This record gives sequence, structure tokens and C-alpha cells, in this order.
Amino acid sequence: MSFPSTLTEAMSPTAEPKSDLLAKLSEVDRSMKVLGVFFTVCGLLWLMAGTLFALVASIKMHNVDFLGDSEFWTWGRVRSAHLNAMIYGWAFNVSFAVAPWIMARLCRTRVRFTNIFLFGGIFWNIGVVIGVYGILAGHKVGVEWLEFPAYVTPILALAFAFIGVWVILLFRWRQTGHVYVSQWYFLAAFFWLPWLYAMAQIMIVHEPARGVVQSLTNWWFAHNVLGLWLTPIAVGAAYYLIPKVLGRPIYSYYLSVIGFWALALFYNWAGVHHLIGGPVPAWVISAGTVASVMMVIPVIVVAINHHMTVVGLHREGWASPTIRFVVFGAINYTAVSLLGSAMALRSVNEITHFTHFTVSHSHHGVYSFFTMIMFGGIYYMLPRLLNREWPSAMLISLHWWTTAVGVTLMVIVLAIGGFIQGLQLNAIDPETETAAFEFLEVMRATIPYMVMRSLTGVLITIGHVAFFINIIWMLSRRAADGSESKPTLLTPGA
Amino acid sequence: MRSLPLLFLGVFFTIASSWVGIVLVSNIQLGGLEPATPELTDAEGNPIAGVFFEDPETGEMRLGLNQDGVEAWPVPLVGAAQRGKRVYEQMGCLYCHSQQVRRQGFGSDYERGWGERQSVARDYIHQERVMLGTMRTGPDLSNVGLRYSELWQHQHLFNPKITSRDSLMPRYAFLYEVRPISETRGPSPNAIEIPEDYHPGPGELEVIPTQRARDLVAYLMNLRQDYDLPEMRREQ
Amino acid sequence: MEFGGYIILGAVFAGLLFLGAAAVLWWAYRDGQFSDLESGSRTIFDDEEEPEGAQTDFFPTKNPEDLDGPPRRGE
Repeated sequence: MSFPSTLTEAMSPTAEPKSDLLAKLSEVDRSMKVLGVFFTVCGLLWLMAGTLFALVASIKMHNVDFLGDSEFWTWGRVRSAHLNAMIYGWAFNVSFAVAPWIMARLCRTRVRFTNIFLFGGIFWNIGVVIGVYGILAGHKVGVEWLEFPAYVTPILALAFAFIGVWVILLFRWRQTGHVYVSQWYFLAAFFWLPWLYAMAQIMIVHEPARGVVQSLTNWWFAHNVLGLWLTPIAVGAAYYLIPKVLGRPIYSYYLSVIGFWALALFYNWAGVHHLIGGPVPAWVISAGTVASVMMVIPVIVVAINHHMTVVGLHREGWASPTIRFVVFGAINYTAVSLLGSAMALRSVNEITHFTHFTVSHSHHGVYSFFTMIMFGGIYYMLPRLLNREWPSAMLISLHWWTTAVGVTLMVIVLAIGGFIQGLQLNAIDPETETAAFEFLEVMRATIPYMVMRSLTGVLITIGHVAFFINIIWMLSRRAADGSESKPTLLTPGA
Repeated sequence: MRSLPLLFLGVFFTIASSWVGIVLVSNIQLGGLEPATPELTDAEGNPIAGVFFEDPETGEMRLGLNQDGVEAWPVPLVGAAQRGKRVYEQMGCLYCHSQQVRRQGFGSDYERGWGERQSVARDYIHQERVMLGTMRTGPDLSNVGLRYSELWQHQHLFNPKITSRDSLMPRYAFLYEVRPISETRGPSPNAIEIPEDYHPGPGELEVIPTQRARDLVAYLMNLRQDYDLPEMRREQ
Repeated sequence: MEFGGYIILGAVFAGLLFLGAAAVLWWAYRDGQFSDLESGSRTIFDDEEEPEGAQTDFFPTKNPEDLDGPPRRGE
């Protein structure tokens, strides 16, 4: 009875679970400490950088002369820097922090060979730094969600290979018989992403496919980063955090099986709805529309499961920062997905396509849903990793209110502005058979919404600063000795 | 779920299905597209409507052939226009400007004069980087080369407000060199004309497009889908 | 370029895939993969440290039973 001490031994299929090796949760947490803190801090720094880029880009949408003479800060680049910093910087890092930690807890194993993961993580972040700089410096690739210059790709791919291999190893070290639903989501996500990324890079950047096949590959990839990476990570985290925090098992485990497979089956076909009306074969669009509408099934299933688990415990949940953020995210998962299914219908898409409605929708998904659940995950994880309490309840409250209100307002403002924009763009004067509104007129009408968007962005920024201060403050404190502040339900020094 | 191989198999097949379905099959369908003459012919050289004709012997549907001696479209970008496309990409133009005209009756693309016909897959076969775009903060540019002059483009890039008051487009003045007019040689023939109100600074200055500005304008002037393709004849 | 061929090929593959999925489901059912589904949902709890029925997260210093250890709810 010994831990596999070498890599080859660790990968051996004969490494059977041994119940006497079952680690205590606090032991698991301690073994994940370096990794969890490293990726949280990296993610946090990217969140702040991404917020800065977001503010600049947002202000430029109504005050076009702001930083207007700088090529480095020109809108087309800052916008991409924002997207890539938020996705590959914030979202990926925080996924690398939260998902493997939950995975390790569910596997009930002390993690080993953490240097592999750390090495991958360091390279990943170096890659993202070079990539974001490359975008601003003018080496970007003109493909949405794949803007990083071609020379960054190998770094990211290599880094993810290390990370992915380690996650599979982690799973092999599990000391439990049952594989919990969150683990399927995480495993699937860590399997799907490299496939998506490799295919997209090869077929678009390195060996470009012919013509609009690139665009189809582009949206197959970009939507699936959301659907097959961010979504399973966040849904998996919610499937763990909600029952865990409330101490009540998930409402229907049976439904979670259906939900998982329905998501796996339908989501990866949905992306092409970004090309409705475009120069691509009609059958692809139809398939994408059907899949988008079928997404209603897994979404409803997850909604029932998450919300029914919380039902009756709202007061208790409100007392937990984790539950506040995660439930907010879960509610918005339902909302954003149903809205997304509607937007894939041709008649709705005709209005919302090419407008700020789409921008609203993507923030609804990546922020209201994914990011909020990840905030909740960090609020639960960090005290356990560090064995110390969050320093300020007030800062958590501030973070919660500013981001929840800020992003909700932003999504609403952009949706309204975008819908009006779409209606005006499409309106045709029946008498003259020309467009009813001049293009500049349509654009001018969006400006008040753009100003409001910037204001909601400021609100969210305040929340991020509060979050930043709280984390840095927490990291610089001493570990709890049991008296000054007590981390919730940890067994200190057990 | 207790069977892990099953989980992995399922996870693999789901993504494989969409990759095959969306990426691979459309590559089979579209990857072989070639430039085409406005009208295609059957094996005997008789014009056909649309892209396919029925082989009289076997009854199979076959792809039509290009007509002899007629120019096939689209043609690839060359030289300055090709370099200009790189500038277009680097400035992030695609985040506000689409390059796809939707069919008449779907949106107002036709009524806005953005194109006389719908864009089709064949229009993009020469493009190493396809920038269809997903946002129309600015107008569609599929046919922008047909709408404006080179001077208009330069003025618009130098300061969009010169040509479009209230425009939200960023100015790309950093693609232009503003310099004093040479006292010995006089004004440069390359200088672009800037209206009084927008003229940079006091004194005798002139605005000279850099290489990148000239390339970008060459690219914009080449954005046009005004040729006929056989796809357009399908319904006739 | 023969469209009939592709359609037949596609139909064959779709049919095989469907049959495969049906066979796998049947096997899973017979194998008992679907029996006793709900018990798995309790595996995340741990009687020693984070037991079922106990809330495990509160705002700092707001834990109602800070002195008496984890609060337990009657289920």
C-alpha cells in the first residue's frame, strides 16, 4: 500500500482505488493550495486587465476620440484584447483553479506531481501575455475568439497538454468508486477543449480551409468554447457547490444524467447560428438552429435540478456568499440559454444579428452565468485552501451588489439598445422601398445605450476592485489560529 | 454513471459528430469551389441555369463547366490590395463592419444599397482570411469599393467626421503623416485634400498617406461583389 | 458530384450511430447502470468534515453557531 511514486506507476491501470488511502477533505485542500492560489491570482490579475480594456473599449463606443490617436489603443485592438484577456486569461485560469480543486475533492485524493500543472499554468499565462501584447502591437489574427498571433498557439497548446494530462492523472488517482456528475462535466470539458482548439487552429490559422469553411469552423469553435468548456466547468461547479454549501443533495441525480448527455449532444452543433443569413449552406444553418432549440432540454433539466435544490433554503443561502453568486449564475444560465435558443430562430435572428443584442447575450453568458459561478467557487475555495477566513464581509457584499446589479443592468441596456438598433436597421419604407432610417441615424440612436453601458461597467469595476482587495488582503494575512477568525467548517490543523 | 469507457466514448462521439457535420461535410461541399463564369454550360457547351445539369446518358447530376473565353470570378487580390487586407485585419475593422450581403427580404441589406445580390460561398474562395463579421456598428463593406472614391476613403480614414458627421468610427490618423509643406519643392502630389475645418493645426501642413494607408484604401477599393455567378441564376 | 450517394452514405452512418446508441443504452440498462441513480448524489458529503444537512458557507463572522461548530438542520 503506497502511493504511486512515479509517473508511469501513476498512470498504470492497475492503480486501484484503496479505501484506506481516502484523504480527508482538509488534506485534499492542503495539497491543492499552491495550485489553487496560483491560478486564482493569475485569473484575478487577468480580470483586472480585462476590465481595464473593457472600460477603454466601452468609452470609445461613445467618445470616439478617447485615446483616439494611439494605434496601440485603437478600438479594434482593445476590444480583442478585452475578449482574449477575459477568456484565455480570466476564464481559463479560474477554471484551472476551481475545477481541478473540486475534482480533487471528489476524488478524495492528495494530489501529486503538482509541478506538471504548475508548469503548464506558467506557460499558459506567458502565452496569454504574449498573445494580448501581440494583439495590441498589431500581430493579431482577424478571427473572432482566435485573435492571438499564430506564434502563440504552440505555447498555449503545449501548456494545455501539461494541464490536461495532469487532470486525467488526478482522476486516475481517485480513491472513490462513484464518479459524481461534476466530474463528468470537468472530464468532458478537459477532453473537448484541446480537440476544439487544435482543429480551429489548424483549419483557420495554420492551414486555412477554403473560403467560408473557415467561418463555419470559427463559429463551431467559438461557440463551443462557451458551450463545451465554460459551460461544463460552471455547471459542474454549480452541481458541486449548491448541494455542498446547503448540505442537501441535488434534487434529482437522474435528471443530471439526462442533462449532461443532452448538452453533450446538442450544444456542439449550435454555434453556426452566428452565420444565419450568411453565405453558407442552408442545411448547416438549419442544423444549428435545430440544435440551438434542442438546448432547451438540458437547460430546463439543469434549471430544475439547481433551483429545486435551493428551494426552501433561500434564507440560508443568502447567508452564504458562495450560494449568492452561484445561484445568481445558475438563474442566468437558464435565462441566457433560453434567450439563446430564441435568438437562433431565423425571424428573431434577423433582428438581433449584427447588433448590440449579441454583445448583451455574450456578457449574459460569460459574465452573469460563468463568471458569477466562478466568483462563488473562489469564495468557497480560498478559505479552505488557505485555512483562513475572508477578511471583510463588507467587501464581499460590495462585490456581490455591484457585479450582480451592474451586469444585469448592462445586459438589459445592451439588449434594449440592440433590439431597437436591429429594428431600425431592418425597417424599410414601404413607399420608397429604401431603408427607413439612415445608417448614421441608427448609429446615433445607440449612443445613449453605450453611455449607460459604460456606467454599468464602472459599477462592475468597483466590484472587481473590492474582490481584488479582499483576495490580496486575505493572502497577506496569517493563517487562522482558531481564535481571531474562524474559517467556516474547517478543521484547522487536523 | 459507472462505466467510464462509456463516458469517454460518448464524449468523443458527440464532438466528433459536430466536427464531421459542420466542419468536414461543409468542407466536402464547399472546399472544391472554383472561380466560375456567370453562366455554366453542360458537356456539349450549351448554357445551363444554375450550377448543375443532368447528364443525358447516366441521368446523374453533374457540375456545370465554365464557358470558354469568358472571365471566371472571383479573382484573387494582388499587390497593395492584398497587403491592405492585412492592415484591415490588424485594425480590427471586422468588429464593426461585416462583409456579407444577405438576400433581399432578409434584413435591409439590399435596400441600403450594400449589394445588388446576396453573397455566396464562391465569393470568398480566394480569401486566406475570411472576415464575414458579426457586427454592424458600421455599414457592410462587401461592395464598398463601388460606393466611394479613393479620396473619400482617405479623408474618411484620416478623420471619419470629414465625410460622415457624428461617425463613431475611430480615426486612423496614425496611418497618415502630417508634415510641413516643403518650401523648395512645394506641396506633394501625394497629399490628400483635407477640408478647412478638419485641417491639422496651424501653418502650412499637408497630409500624406503612409504605405499602410495606401494599401488599406487599395483593399477597400477592391471590395466588390458586382460580378455575376451561376448560383444567382438558379431561380431563373 | 453525386448527391444521392452522399445522402445514402449519411443515412447509413446515422442509422449505425442510432443503432449503436440504442444498443449501448440497452446494455447499460441490463447492466444496472440506471438502477439506484439517486444514491450517487450523496457521495459529495462526508460525515466527518462536511456532513449532509449542515450548511458549510457563511459570510465571514456571520456563522450563526460560530461557537458550537457546524449548525445542523433537522431533515
